Amino acid sequence: MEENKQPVSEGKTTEKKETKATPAAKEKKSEKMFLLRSSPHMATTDNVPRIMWTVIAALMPAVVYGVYNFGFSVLLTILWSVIAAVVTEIVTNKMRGRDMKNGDGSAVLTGLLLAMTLPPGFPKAYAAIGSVFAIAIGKQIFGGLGYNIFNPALLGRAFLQASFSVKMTTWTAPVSMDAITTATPLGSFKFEKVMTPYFDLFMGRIGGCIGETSALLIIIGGIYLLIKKYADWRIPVSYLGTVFILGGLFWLINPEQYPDPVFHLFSGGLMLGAFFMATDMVTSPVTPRGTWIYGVGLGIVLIVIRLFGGLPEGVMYSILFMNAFVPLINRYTRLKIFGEPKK
Amino acid sequence: MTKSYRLILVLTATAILSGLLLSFLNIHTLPLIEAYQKQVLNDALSGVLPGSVKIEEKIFDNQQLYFGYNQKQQLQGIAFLAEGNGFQSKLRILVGMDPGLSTITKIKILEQKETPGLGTKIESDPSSKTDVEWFPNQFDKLNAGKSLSYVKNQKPDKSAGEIMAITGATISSKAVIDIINAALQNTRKILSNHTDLSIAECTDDAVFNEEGFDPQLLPRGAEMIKTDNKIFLLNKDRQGAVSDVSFIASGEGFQSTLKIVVCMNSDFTRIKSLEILEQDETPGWGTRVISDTTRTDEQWFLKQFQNLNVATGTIRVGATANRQDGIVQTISGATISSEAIINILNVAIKEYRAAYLNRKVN
Amino acid sequence: MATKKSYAGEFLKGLWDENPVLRMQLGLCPTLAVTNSAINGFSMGLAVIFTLVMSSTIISLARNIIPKEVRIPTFIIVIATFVTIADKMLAAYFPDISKALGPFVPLIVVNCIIMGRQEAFASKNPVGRAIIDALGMSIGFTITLTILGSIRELLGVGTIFAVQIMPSSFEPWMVMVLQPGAFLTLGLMIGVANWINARRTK
Repeated sequence: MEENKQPVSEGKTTEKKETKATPAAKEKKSEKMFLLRSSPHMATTDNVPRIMWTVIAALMPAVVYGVYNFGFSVLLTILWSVIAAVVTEIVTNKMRGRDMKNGDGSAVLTGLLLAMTLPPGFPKAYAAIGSVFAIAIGKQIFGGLGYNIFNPALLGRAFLQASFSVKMTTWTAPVSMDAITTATPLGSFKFEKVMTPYFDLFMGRIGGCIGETSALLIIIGGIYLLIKKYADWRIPVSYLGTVFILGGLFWLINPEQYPDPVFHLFSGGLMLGAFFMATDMVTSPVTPRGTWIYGVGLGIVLIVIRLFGGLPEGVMYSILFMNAFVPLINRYTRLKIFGEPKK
Repeated sequence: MTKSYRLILVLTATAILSGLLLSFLNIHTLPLIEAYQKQVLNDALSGVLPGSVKIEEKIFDNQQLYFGYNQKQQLQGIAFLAEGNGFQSKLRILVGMDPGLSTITKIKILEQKETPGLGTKIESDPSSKTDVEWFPNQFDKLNAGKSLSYVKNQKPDKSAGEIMAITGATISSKAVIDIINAALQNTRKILSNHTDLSIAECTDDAVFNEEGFDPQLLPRGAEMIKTDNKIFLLNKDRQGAVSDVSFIASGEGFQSTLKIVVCMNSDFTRIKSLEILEQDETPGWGTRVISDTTRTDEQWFLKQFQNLNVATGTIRVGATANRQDGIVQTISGATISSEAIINILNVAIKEYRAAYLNRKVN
Repeated sequence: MATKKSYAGEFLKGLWDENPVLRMQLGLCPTLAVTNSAINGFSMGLAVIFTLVMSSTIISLARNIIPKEVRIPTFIIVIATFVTIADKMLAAYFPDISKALGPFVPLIVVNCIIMGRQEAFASKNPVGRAIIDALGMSIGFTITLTILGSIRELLGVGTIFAVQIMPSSFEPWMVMVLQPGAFLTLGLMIGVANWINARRTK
């Protein structure tokens, strides 16, 4: 599986991986370390645009359901966000003197993911601002795709959350054109201790962000990605598993105060985050062991925020928080090169 | 050796010069800084205790309490400082309440450094078109009989002590409410431990008409009882205990009939306040019992009776007033009027005490 | 300090080439902390101008008296004295600004710009030069902080120096007046400064 993944993240991603992973070796040996790669070498048809478009396709069921759930206007929000992301990508690449011949689709994906994490009634112009921030500050400033530390879409969302926090927490009820505000299942549990039925949670007939409500459709898209091996199965498994176990522990301690683990799994943006955001190849660890650490860390941070933080939801911050540790995790869990002396 | 002397000398000289300069500066700026701080507090106090002309500060167990009195030395309200942690900063809130601590008059946020644009709305909200201070103003005349609470997305009920939380700053809003609740509870505890503060104040003179007590005007919590042909007005605190007893004493003065409202504590050992309801004494002389224009404090005579100890049974006249011993001074030039009042009181207190303490308690 | 600069050059270097914030990244703590509005950035700058010019003058005058073994403690006493003066004066005459700047005025004591200028310049140069250097540095600092504060205030509140600039339909970007806004704006400003410099040297 690893062999399969390595050619996938061709080019910049691999470069980053090598430089990050073997600083000592780089010192001792030579620059040639970059080009060396152990066999077996496998021919593959995968490349960056192909992966990006596949991920976008996998998101489509949830997007379509979001439009059905919240009305036609969210489609415009998504369009605004995607177009702003693509335009920013083109402009910043020009400024950096880069060729944009082969659009890799990553900007489209970033814009789409950002839009999916916005509340349905969110003003479209602000969604565009979030996309501009995600691409320009979240990605290009770090050096472009493959060099960014944080998931750009979530960074854009964090910016919007900090800037327009009132609008970011105003939720529209499903299928109501005249913006009736409602609470998300997590919000109503946290502040009013009201539970939402599991079936609604699972199907997605609830308040929430545009693309996060239907756990079912996100899981379908996510499993497709796992089968295509464009996402590391360890991340959703360890992330969701930690949330289930830790959330369950607290629920057993005090079922009055804390929601049950099933509710944790299917509410909020956890499914979307676990399958589509935490698994971002650039911002997740490259080693299997590192991936487990990363996933468990995500779960712990999420539960802490959900149960003890001021906010009802913590998927975004848990992923951004653990993104920051990815270089460190990579460093300490790197695979030994065959023949390397033990320290 | 000379080298070390030089080191010490230079450092010492620098330090001394610096010290001199700074102490000189401090002498000049300290009064200004203190005046400013005092002014900020005073402005806030007169804001939360409207109608008070004199404000006294008392500190109990680290809780600052401010008592506001009107012209007639009647307690108008109590203010206290509430402090605690908000969302990201320390909040200091001045809370003004009625003397019975049942209703908030007004609050003032003295200090906060909450999230700009969100949490800062607890102080003022520039985005509001109608009232930038809508959040603190919600506390005006808010019923605080029970703990305060907050609501979201619905109209708050003032009589139930409800406050509308700020959208996007629920935690800051909640912090304000929690801090006030905690300080209010603490203040109530302090006041119940210090009963001599006479918080449930003697009844306002608005309750009297020419006849005596007007049953129509009885304040909330007050009760009128009649025993042995004597009428008492009982003020009760929130626990239902009698906090003070008022009755009307009347008798002959120098040239007119005097009617005096006497307010005493519930065991009749201490006078809380006196109010002369009716008199027609010699203008300029006998009227000095109410208002003595020859003194800076025109009500000095009646004030002598406030908190006067009458456990011995009689009020005596002396050269110097002494509350603890029950001694008051007479007015020179209106000795007869003064003594008449004292006599009326001595007789009335004796009668009313007996009647009150022997009343049938059901 | 190998080549003697002209007085103008001594002044101008603080504004750009050796700008304490943008080029040397000194005094970042107050820079990040107080610049949530233009007026706060500006007042912080004024306090630094006062402290730096006064301390540089005294240190430069006394540079031949102060033994080098105790120069750092002496500098600290002198700087602390002027910082305290600035702090007390603000508290007495401009209480609102004093409240807004909070603990950052007393913290000027440990602002590396001031200590750095005493050590690197004032203690080695005649008083005229020391004053001009101090003025250049502190004015460079003030300008930077004012611009930083203006950008943050404009986007975060919609005003500059409390004057409404943005149309009323503009929704403020709250993040700009929060701590992340300081890091974002300062980072971008340093980036722009480097970019301009790179173009100039080309």
